[in-house]
Amino acid sequence: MNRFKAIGSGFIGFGGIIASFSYFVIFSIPLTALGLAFAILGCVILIFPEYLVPHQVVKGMISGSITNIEAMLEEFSVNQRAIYLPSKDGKIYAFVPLLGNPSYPEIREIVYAPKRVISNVDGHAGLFIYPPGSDVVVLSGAVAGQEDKTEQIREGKVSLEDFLPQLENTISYCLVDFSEFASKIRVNFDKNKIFLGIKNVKIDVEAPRFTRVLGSPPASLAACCIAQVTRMPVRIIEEKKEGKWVRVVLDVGE
Amino acid sequence: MDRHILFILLLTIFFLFTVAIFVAAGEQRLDVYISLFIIEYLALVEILRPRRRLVTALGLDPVGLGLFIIFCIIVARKVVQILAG
Repeated sequence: MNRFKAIGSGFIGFGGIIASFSYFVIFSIPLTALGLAFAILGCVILIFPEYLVPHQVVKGMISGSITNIEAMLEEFSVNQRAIYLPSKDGKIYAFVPLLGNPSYPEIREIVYAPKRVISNVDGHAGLFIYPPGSDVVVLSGAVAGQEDKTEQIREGKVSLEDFLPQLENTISYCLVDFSEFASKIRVNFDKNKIFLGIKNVKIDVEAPRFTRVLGSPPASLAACCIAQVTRMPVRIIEEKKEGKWVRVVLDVGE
Repeated sequence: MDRHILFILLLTIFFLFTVAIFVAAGEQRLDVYISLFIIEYLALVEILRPRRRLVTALGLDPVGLGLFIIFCIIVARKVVQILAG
């Protein structure tokens, strides 16, 4: 049992005993209220996450990861937008066509291609990258227990509109509450395009090629969320900073 | 200071001050204490936004949800009392 759970349970027990004793035995309302206050504090402590990692450490590790990918993209002079795809093991990966092959291969070919750093997919050479947000969606638990609708999507029985409520909740939870990348998000949909607004982005990493290919860290995480929830390929078409907001347009589907 | 520690400290201080002030005022209605606790909790959560486990489908934490339901019950009881005369 971690320390938060122990302290929280202790407060709940203590508060419950004080409240019950005060209310039923000594008939004291103020002491009952005090006991209830302890119980509420105990519940609050119980729902805190187990690990509170200093945010500067996390920011440093994200920055290091992005710098690594930036160096690789720079080495191959990549300029094309990445396609985010979910894999069966729950991780999200991105396929980036290399310069000289600007058109994208068939999504089915990408999915079945071997996941090496450089891979030839149906005559298109490209990089397979696991973006920094690849594991975050699964770690957040936002899509736990979700039914795999890949076959239904392929057969055309399920469309993007079916995912709307879950998408907005998942993106908001991942970007605002879980990773604390932003203070607020806004999601709009139009056919197979998602228009995402991200307010007060709290992470700023200097990596122009990474941003051009994979999107900024919050946009990349949002793309991972969408790919994980919808099990469809996702591409960031446009990203623009407008004051406190970052506007991102994502294309979902083949 | 870490946001989560600050949240717990402030919540504790607010609760203790609430009890102290109401004891000094001679308040004997339990629902008044509980209502204030709930308002203080919800307000602090919105201001500090500590990271906590959420009921993801609803986007709410279980404590906030439970307290809000209790608050609604308290308000409903008061309304029924007033209407019943």
